[in-house]
Parts: sequence; structure tokens; C-alpha cells
Amino acid sequence: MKCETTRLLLSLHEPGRTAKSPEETRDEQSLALHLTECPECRAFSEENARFDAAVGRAMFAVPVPAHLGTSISIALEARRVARVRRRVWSGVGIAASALLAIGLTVPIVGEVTQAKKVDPSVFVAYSLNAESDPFQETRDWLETQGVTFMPTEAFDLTLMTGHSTARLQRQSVPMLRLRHTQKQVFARIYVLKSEHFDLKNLKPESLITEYGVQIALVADALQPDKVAYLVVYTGDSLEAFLRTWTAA
Amino acid sequence: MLSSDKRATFTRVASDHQADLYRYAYRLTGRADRAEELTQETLLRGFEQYSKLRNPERVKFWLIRILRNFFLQDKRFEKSHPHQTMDGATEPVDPQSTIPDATDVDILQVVLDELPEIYRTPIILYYFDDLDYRDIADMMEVPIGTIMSRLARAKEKLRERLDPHAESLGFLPERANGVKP
Repeated sequence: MKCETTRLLLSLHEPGRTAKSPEETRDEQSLALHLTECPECRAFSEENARFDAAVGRAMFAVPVPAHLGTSISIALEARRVARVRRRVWSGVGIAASALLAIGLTVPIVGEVTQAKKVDPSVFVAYSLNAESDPFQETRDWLETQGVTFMPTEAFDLTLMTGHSTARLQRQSVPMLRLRHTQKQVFARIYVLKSEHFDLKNLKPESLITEYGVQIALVADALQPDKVAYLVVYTGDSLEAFLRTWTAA
Repeated sequence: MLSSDKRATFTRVASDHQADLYRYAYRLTGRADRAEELTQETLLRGFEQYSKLRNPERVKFWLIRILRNFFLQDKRFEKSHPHQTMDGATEPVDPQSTIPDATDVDILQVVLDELPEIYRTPIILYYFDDLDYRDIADMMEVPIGTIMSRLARAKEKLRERLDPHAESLGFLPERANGVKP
């Protein structure tokens, strides 16, 4: 094999690929033989391999944000919930029409429950999933509250210490607690719904506090008219509770 | 709508591939925020279309293809809205310019940003080591020979720009070994 052919084959080599056809096997054997006989091509081959390995390493060395899995899980869950809701409402429409058509008078309010057989594998799967995704339980809980948590600000949910429902102004308000232990600040994110609160007249400038804490209003990305997030927090700015981006 | 089994499967797929999709998106765009958006958009689209995927073994190829399509859509949007730039990668580059010191920037990203997308995508996928020439050619809808020549040109460009940083990147250029080019 000539040096020119050798270098062409080396430049076309696919990392990690092994010969698949008899022609490729023959080429590889000729190439290997030539490399044992020609020091210049051997040096070229070694240098080429070093370059590929170095660029391969550098190409892969992109720091992946720690919150990526959580934010994707939230987005997927939000999409799933939105689709379920669409389907449920469509089903409700059909069912209502059917009931009207046959003149049923059975009360339809209230859930008919049936004792279910316990399936331990479901509990195991949920536990494993919850362990690998700390936000899973909160997301499930938010779903029971009818909330798809999609604020326009990217809150750092790794700071979350818990969630609960607060009884405020005679309404049950879902709330998430965040704490930044290093900066010694905390935040509470209240989820306000338009069915309970007049969101139209809630303006950021009206949210001034004299108690040493700050208040911020964050819109919902999916339903800005129906959901808003009122954040009560300590510290200089909301930044402490938002995700930070690390440049690669 | 996905069944709960398929949903669970897709959740695992998303979990298995999200980091690689992010890395690919980052190398394609050079931006962490855009990479995360693209990864998310891709997995959401994947979630919606998963039941239509015929060969689950090719799921990663399929997802990368979706991601690239989103990226190209963005590029088209940029073209039609020139003031709303999302990717500065197409700025003209002075080939004589030098790249800042290795400790300050991701040199590789600087060089990738200089490459047009038709070269950038194959070279990224080539080094990510998951797809062969045939896969890359299929994804880009060009003949395999075209991919090979684009890769050769892209590698040439990488070498030319990265040689001054050989030490920091962990390889030495040919001339350092005393071998004639």
C-alpha cells in the first residue's frame, strides 16, 4: 500500500468502527502492514489518533446542568396533564350529551369509588422514581391541586424544602418553600388562580412590603391570565432562587 | 396519546438520552440556554410522536434528527428576522484571527461556531461516536460521499485552528514529532 492511500484510509476511518465487509478487512490488513513498515505513516497514524481522541474528549466535555432532568420531567408532565385535561373535557362533553339524551336523573356529582387490589410493583416504581427525581412528589401534589407549575422565571427547585396548602383570604393556596442555606434567605411561592383571586388588578408595583421581605409577581408561561405566582422572599433579589447558567 | 407503559418507556428514553442531546445542542448552538430549550423541545416532540416510532432501537438517531430540525427552524427564523439573533455562529470570521488562551474559553466551541452548519453537524456527530457515516448522511439527506468530504474539510479546519492549542487539548501536531506533513 502506498503512503497516499494509507493516509486517505486513515483520514476516512470512523472512530470505533470495525471492518464489516471483506474489502474493508483486506484494507485494514494492508493498512496495518504498511504502518509496521513505514515510520512516517505510523507517526501520522498515531498523531491522527491522538488528535481524534483529544477532540472527542473536548467535544464531549460539555457540563450538563444539574436541573436538566427535573426541568424536562416538569415539561413532560405539564404536556401530559394538558393532554389528559383536553381528553377529559372532551369526554365530559360527550358524556353530558349522552346523559341529556337518555334523560338520566342519577346524580353525577361525586366520585364512585371501588376498592382496588394493591399492586406493590406500582409503589416500588413510584418510590424509585421519586428517589431519582426529588421534584416528582411535588409535581404529583401540584397536579392534585390542579396546578401545572410553569412560571416564566426558572426557579431553582433544588432549593425546595417542602410544599403545603396555605389558607389565605379564605382560599386554599398551594405553596412551595425554598431555602438557600448558604445565602441564608428563603422564599415562598404561592400559586394564585384567577378563579380565586383577581389577577387582572394585581400589579407588581402594588406589592410593596414594609416588613423586611420582598414580594415579586411571576407570570405563568402557559396560562398567564389564569395563574400567577406571588413570591415572598428575603434577600436582595429573586436571583438567589433562580437557576444559574454555567458557561462551558 | 401514549399508554402508561409507553409513557414510562419514554420517560426512561428521555432520561437515557437527555444529557447527550444537550451536549449535541450545545455544540450546535454554542449556548447553554438555547441547548436546554432545544433539548426540551426535542423531548416534548418525541413524547408526542413516540407511538409513531417504528424502530425503538433507533430512538437516539430519531431524537437527534428532531433536535436538528428544530435548530434549522430557528436558523430559518433568524434569517427572516435578522434582528432577533439566536445563534451568532454565522458571523463572518477572520481566518487569521487567533483564539484566546485555552484557559479562558472553550476553544473547540469557538472553532465549531466558525463552521457552517453543514460541516458542524457531521463533525459533532462524528466525534460523539454514536452514528456512522451512513446515519449522518441519512440525517442530513445527502449522499455518503458528500458527508465524507464535508467531514474531511471540517477536520482540516479543526486541525488548522486547534494546532496552536495542541498542548492544552492533549495532542501534539505532526510537526512537533518531526514528521513531514
